[in-house]
Amino acid sequence: MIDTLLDAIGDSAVGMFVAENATAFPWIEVIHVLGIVVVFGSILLVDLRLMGLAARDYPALTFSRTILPVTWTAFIVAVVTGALMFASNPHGYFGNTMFRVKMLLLLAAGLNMLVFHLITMRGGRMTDGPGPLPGGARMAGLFSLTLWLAIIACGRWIGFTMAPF
Amino acid sequence: MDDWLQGIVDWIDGLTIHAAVQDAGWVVPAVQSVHIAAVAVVLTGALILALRGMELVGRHWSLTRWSRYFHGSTIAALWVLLATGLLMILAEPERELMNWIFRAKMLTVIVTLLIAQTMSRRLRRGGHSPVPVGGGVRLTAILILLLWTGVATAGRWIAYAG
Repeated sequence: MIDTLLDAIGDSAVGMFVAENATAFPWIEVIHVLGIVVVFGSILLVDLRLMGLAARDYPALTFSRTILPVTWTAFIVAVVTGALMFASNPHGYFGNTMFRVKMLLLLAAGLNMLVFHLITMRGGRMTDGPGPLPGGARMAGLFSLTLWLAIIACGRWIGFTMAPF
Repeated sequence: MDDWLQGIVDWIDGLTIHAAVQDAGWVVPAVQSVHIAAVAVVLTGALILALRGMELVGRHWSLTRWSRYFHGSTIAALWVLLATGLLMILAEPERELMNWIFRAKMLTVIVTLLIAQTMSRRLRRGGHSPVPVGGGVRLTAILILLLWTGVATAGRWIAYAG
């Protein structure tokens, strides 16, 4: 069943276009890398604030609220361009170990964010003021930073372990 | 210039460290990963300053305060970019030095650094007090963001063309 789905993605007009057009894949990859770069850079700002290592005089929740829209916009760009790259060679990506690890790490980063938003932030111990945050928030920042560094590394390793199309 | 750079490429090709880096397959992707993380620090700093100039993010701090916040991390990231960039040249000298996109990228880096340094000095000249910021500074922040984006774009295109 999964083979049928992968075949359908690869044979779709979009998949064929990205695979066959000489400049489509490089341009999509450029935009993907720019998206990932901004996701990581903006998440890093929030993580450092959560860990209390930077911007300690900026109210923590206000800081997150002002930076995270940038993160989400860049994340959507990265997901769309990532899907387009996947469509150019679905069997190749699906069978690539580093791609699978990257997807698992993305899932873990998402879960970490959910736990932070639904449990840590709603636990009542986080206030929107300057200064250090509770241990849960600091741990969420540390996990997030580690996961996103690993996601970048996996993304780069995909390029070294398979031909793009 | 091509002959001179070809001489450097040939010299690097003969170095023991070049062979060692080539043999260890993990070095290039690892160095590229660190390079990308450092690009993230520089580019995101430029993005937030440009957005703050447009009053779109971070209004709790002035543009001067944001500029001071990013100054140290940007300088540190630029040193990391230099070190990892040199390692990438050591690993694949022909791919980098003989590529016109790489040369255009380096030229753009120098121009961007000069503009960014001028803006940063202007914003930080008042010490901890906010400096009055006009349209020129806001436009310069956008220009710096566009230039760094161009640099990152060129960096990825080195793998495909040139």
